[in-house]
Formats: sequence, structure tokens, C-alpha cells
Amino acid sequence: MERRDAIQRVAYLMGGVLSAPAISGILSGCQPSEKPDWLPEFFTKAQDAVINEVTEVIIPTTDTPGAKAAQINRLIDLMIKDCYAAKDQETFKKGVDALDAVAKEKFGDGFAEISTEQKNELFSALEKEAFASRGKTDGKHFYFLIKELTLLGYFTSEIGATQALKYLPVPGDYKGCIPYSEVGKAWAT
Amino acid sequence: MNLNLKAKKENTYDAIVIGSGISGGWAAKELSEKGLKTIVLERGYNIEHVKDYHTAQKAPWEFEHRLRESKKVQEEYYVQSRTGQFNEATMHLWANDKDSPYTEVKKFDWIRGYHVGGRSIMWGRQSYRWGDLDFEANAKDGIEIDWPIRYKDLEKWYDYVEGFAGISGQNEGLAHLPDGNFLPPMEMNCVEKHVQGRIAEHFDDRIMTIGRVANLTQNHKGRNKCNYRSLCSRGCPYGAYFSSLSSTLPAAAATGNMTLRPNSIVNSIIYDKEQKKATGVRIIDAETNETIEFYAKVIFCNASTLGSTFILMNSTSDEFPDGLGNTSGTLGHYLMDHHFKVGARGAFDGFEDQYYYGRRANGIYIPRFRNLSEKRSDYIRGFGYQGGASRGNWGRGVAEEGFGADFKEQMTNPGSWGMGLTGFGECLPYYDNKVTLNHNVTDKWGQPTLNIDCEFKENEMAMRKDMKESAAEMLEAAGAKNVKMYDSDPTPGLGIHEMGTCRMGKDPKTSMLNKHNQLHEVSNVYVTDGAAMTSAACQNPSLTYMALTARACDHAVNELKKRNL
Repeated sequence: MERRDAIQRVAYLMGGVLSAPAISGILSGCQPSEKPDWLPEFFTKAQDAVINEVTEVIIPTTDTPGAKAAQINRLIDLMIKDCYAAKDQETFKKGVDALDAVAKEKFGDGFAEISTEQKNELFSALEKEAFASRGKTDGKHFYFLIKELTLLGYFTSEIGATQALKYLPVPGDYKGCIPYSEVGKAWAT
Repeated sequence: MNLNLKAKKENTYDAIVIGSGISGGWAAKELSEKGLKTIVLERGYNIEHVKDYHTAQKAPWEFEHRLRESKKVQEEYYVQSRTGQFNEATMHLWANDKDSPYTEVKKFDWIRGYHVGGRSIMWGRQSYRWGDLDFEANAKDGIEIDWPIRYKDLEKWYDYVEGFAGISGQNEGLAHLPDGNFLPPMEMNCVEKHVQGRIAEHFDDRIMTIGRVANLTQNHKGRNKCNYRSLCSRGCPYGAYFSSLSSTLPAAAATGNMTLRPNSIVNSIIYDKEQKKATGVRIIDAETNETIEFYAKVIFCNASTLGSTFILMNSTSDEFPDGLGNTSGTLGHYLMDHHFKVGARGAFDGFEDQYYYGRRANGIYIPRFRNLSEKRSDYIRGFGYQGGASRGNWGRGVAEEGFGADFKEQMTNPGSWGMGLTGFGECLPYYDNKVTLNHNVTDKWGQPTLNIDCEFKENEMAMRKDMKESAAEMLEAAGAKNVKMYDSDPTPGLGIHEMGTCRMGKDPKTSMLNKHNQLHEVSNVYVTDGAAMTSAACQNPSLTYMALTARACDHAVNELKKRNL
């Protein structure tokens, strides 16, 4: 059986008709940005490298893959470009640059080059600053911007939704009360 | 036969239905099933059931912006994007605000769907009967005018439309929220069951029930039961909820009597002063800009509340300089919407070992309990609550401190249980809340547009105070922790329950429509969408539009047989 036919059959068994883009998504492994020659459009390559590391600090690889594996940096580049107001875009760029500058000042290397412990130390300081300034400043702090996009990006990615969480495209039924132990993870959607 | 006569004959039907949304779909079904050659004129583009639900099967990661909308999209849909129903998966189903502008004299969110099926694709599907508490309200309060109908006039039509549409729910035996012809109810989750029990214990005057919703809990009339994906507003590949596309339009098409013409913007209704009747409608083809006329013995206006009123206002003649059938001067007035986004939420401990399976596209309902026998002094009418309980997801992590492996582990587990109650309150009919034609701002097709001048007033504001306090009181009585009340900016329109502006009434001097939804002054024009409402009740209105439409179609066909139209 052709793979496309097999997928269509599975889709049919699930009770539905898959759209052409959905089938091509499954065939290509559902990673629209798997291109090896990908380049950031909004950020510089240096900024993108910092962003990539920050996402992994927030959601590291554990027994399931982390933010880097899910290429959350690519989504952040697109989302900041397409969906965010100029003010947030500026906050984001400045936040990335400042984090890189602090790394250089404190550890003599850019954020992308320092050790995991050092990254955690700097991000922890950023977190303290963000919570201390909450409600006192106009606009969102860089910490909240990147954390929100990392969580959104990761937990709605195929890796995050199907490995870290439990993704059920077609439940087929509804049961209002079941023991949590029967699921063991949060539902992805 | 000369060419004009031939063209006229080709464009002549027994009935014209303007609009293919919830009420237009019903008119199409009823009229064509009763043997009338019926043309359905839909202003928007064509959508085919299942085939054109191109986002329905997509996983979250298949959306470029993970369901959020880009700035570019927000510019095109600057009003539509104000509703929480608007997202990357559904944006093609909302009207383009740049093509079809209107003027907000006061802020009003006019949320529209311009395509075959209209908002029946994206609707919330909550389906409640109105009762005599609602139909008698104006008369008893001495507010505006009385409805020309009572519950007994609609009861069998509610039975009929529920039987076809498939509404799941629980009968509760309340006089003011009449029982229905329901499919088995959906289940509550464990916290909802707990709250339901506590409300029953603590309050003699109120109950909590599962939402009555137009989603099928079992296979029904050739349509599949709900698969609990909760992606309804993208269009359902199973046909598991009621929409014109899944239900009424296929029934109409099956008769062979229906012609569906998308891209047909009805500009006006043609009036013949000799016959004192409408003879047809004038449309603009949305794609070619061509003006075409269609003719029929009877015309049903189902273009949505403000869509139908616009068409009547734009249908002027020497006899009706202010709009068709508008000698009363009431056309465009008494615009209403439900006010909501007010209530309370709280957290529940002790259910950490409980969860749920499936995504129930439905919540709970607390029917109206105010101003039934005991009357309040601070406001009249009442409200109901919609809501539900669930466990937190990863979204909670944004505002919490933490990152790294432990944080990730926490986020892969569900958060604590929370339950929210949102009130939906009745809005009174005010003469001042109105729409008028604006000839200075035109749409993409050169037509005039609407000015919308509408606001909630003192009675609604006084009600909102009680809406949030009563929600908090019930959650606290149910043992909720950390109960927080909220009251967000109540912009009319956002309830997407716009009603009124072409109301029913007994007296042609003070109303547009009679008890059969006919224009008092032009008996072969029926208006059976939200425009016809004389008051707003607090229940979601679509089921009532369905019942009114089926009833009016029955009347129209009988009148045609008697040669009265």
C-alpha cells in the first residue's frame, strides 16, 4: 500500500477526511521549518542563537526533547515579525542583546557560548527582575514575552503536544470523570 | 417571447430567501419541502459541507502562527478579530471589515460571516427555548410594546425544529425555561457535579444543568454523533452539530426545488404600489458587480438582524421613502444584544486525582432565577450563566515563576481545577439604540452602509453588579477558593446576539411585523431572523429564530394556497 493511501485509511478510521495540506504535513513529518538552510528573517543570526539557547533554558531536553529540538527559535522569529507591535518587537530585540551583553561582561562569552549553569544563573536574574518590575512598567517585560512564546511554541509543537503532553486528535467520546492515573499527563488540547 | 420577458421568466421563482444562515437555511428547507421553487440568495462565497472545511483536521502545529492572527490579518478584520471566536483556523469565515465597513457612532462589534451557511458554521450552538416570562415581559413591565405571540404559539415549532436539528440537553421542568425534545445530555465533569450539588443544597431558587447544545450525542438523521474534538467553529467533518450546511440546506437541496446562488448581495426589495406587494429583489453580483433582478410571490428576509434591516432601509419608494413597510418609523430602532463578560471564577481543591476524557464543546447552564416571583428594586428582567470547570494547562506557566526541567515537568501535568461562571443578561429595547443608513461611507460595491448607535444603559449596568456578585456567591457556597469577580467592558455586539430593529407587534403604528413575521404593510415579505425580536430575553436566541422561521413558512405557504399573498 502506498504511504499516502495508508494515511488516508487511518484518517478514515479516525472518522474523518484529512485535507490535502494535513496529509502533506504528515508525510513531511509535520515540521514545516525543517529546512537546513533556514535563516532568521526578523532577528540577526547572533540574536537567533541567543533566542535558541533561552528557549532551551526554559524548556530543556529531559526524558522528552526540549525547545531546541522543536525549533522554537524559528517560530519566535516568525511570530515576533508577524504578530507583535513595534514596541514589543523593540523590547524583544533589546532584551536579547542585553542578555548577550551581560553574559559577555560577566563570563567573557556570549550567551550562546556559556555553560548551562551560567545560562540558568543569568535567566534566573532576569526572572527576578521581571517579577519585581511587574505592574510597575508600561508594556511587557522581555522575560514574559519570550517565556510565553516558548511555552506556546513548545506545547503546540508536534514534539511538545505528542511527547511531553498527550495529544488526542479525535477522542470520539466524552467522559466527565476519570481517574487522572488513566491519562498520566495533561491533554495537549 | 422577447428577451426581457424570457429573462424575467428565468429569474422568477415561487419564493426568495435572502441569506443562508441559521434562519435562512430553515426558510430554504421549509419552503422547498412544501413545494415552492425557492432561490436562496447568499451574499458571501460558496462553501461546501466537509469539502471546504480545510482547517478542520489540522493539528495545532500545522498553523503558521499557532492559531494566533497576524497584524496583517488584524488590519483586514479590524472588527471581527475582537471576538474570541476569531483565530487563524476560522478567519476565512468572518467578514472582511474593509470590504464591508460600518460606522460606530458608539463602539459596537458587528461580528458577521459572509459565506454560504453564514454564522451557523461558527455559532456557539447553545439552544434554549424562550418562555412566557420572556414573551409577556414587555407587557407586564409596561416597557415598549407587547409581543404579538406567546409560548403556546411557538411550542410545537420548538418541538419541530429541535427534532430536526438535534439538541442535546436535560429537561428540568422549569416554566420559564421550557423543556424540549432533547437528545441525551452530555455529562458534567466531577467539579461541575460537585458545584451542581452544592447549588441545589444552598439555593432554593436556582439549579445548574448541562448546556443545551446543538451537538449530537447520538447519530441523528444521517448525521454522525459528536467526536468531542471541540473544533466546531472550523466546520465539522462529521456534521455533528447543526448548521445550514450540515442540516437544512441539504434537506432543501434534496427536494429539487432549491436554487442556491452565492455571491448575491441583495441591495433592495422591489415594491409594486398597484399590487401593494413586493415583486422581487435587486442583487449585486459580488464578483461581477452586475445588477440582476429576481422575482417571486413571497420573500423571506433572513440576512441577519442588521443585514435584513439594511435591505429594508435601502428599499425606498414613493410609498415608503423611509424604508419598506416603515410608515411606523420603528425600522432600525430598538437594537439589542446580550451583555456578558461578567461573572466570577474560583479554584477547587480535592479533585487532583480526577480528570476528563474528550473535549466537550459545551458547558453548564444556570437558568435565570431573578425577578421571577420576587421582584428586585434595582433592575428588571434577568440573566443566566454559562460556564464550566476544567484543569489548568501549560498557559498557567507564563505568569508563574520557574523554568528548566522541574518547571517543564510541572507543565506536562494538569494544573488545579477552576470553574468560571459568565452571565448573559437581558438588554431592554431602547428607541435610542438604533441603526441608520449612511450614504457618505459606501462598501466595496458602492452601497450605503450602516451607522450603529447603541449602548447598554442603567438597567443593564445595575444587573451586571448582581451578575458578578451572585456568581461569586454560588462559587463560594460550593466551596471554591480564591473566588474573583470580573466585569469586562460590555460592548454591545460582542454577544453576537444582535436583535431587534424590525420588531414584531400587534399595532402597525408601533411595529414593523405582525404575529406571523409579515411586514404589516407588505404582506408577502417576512422577516424571521433576529431583527424581528420585540425583547431580548436572556437565553441564546438562535433556536427561537428557527422556530419562528418554520412557523412563518407554514403560514406563508397556507396563505399562498388561499391566494392571500
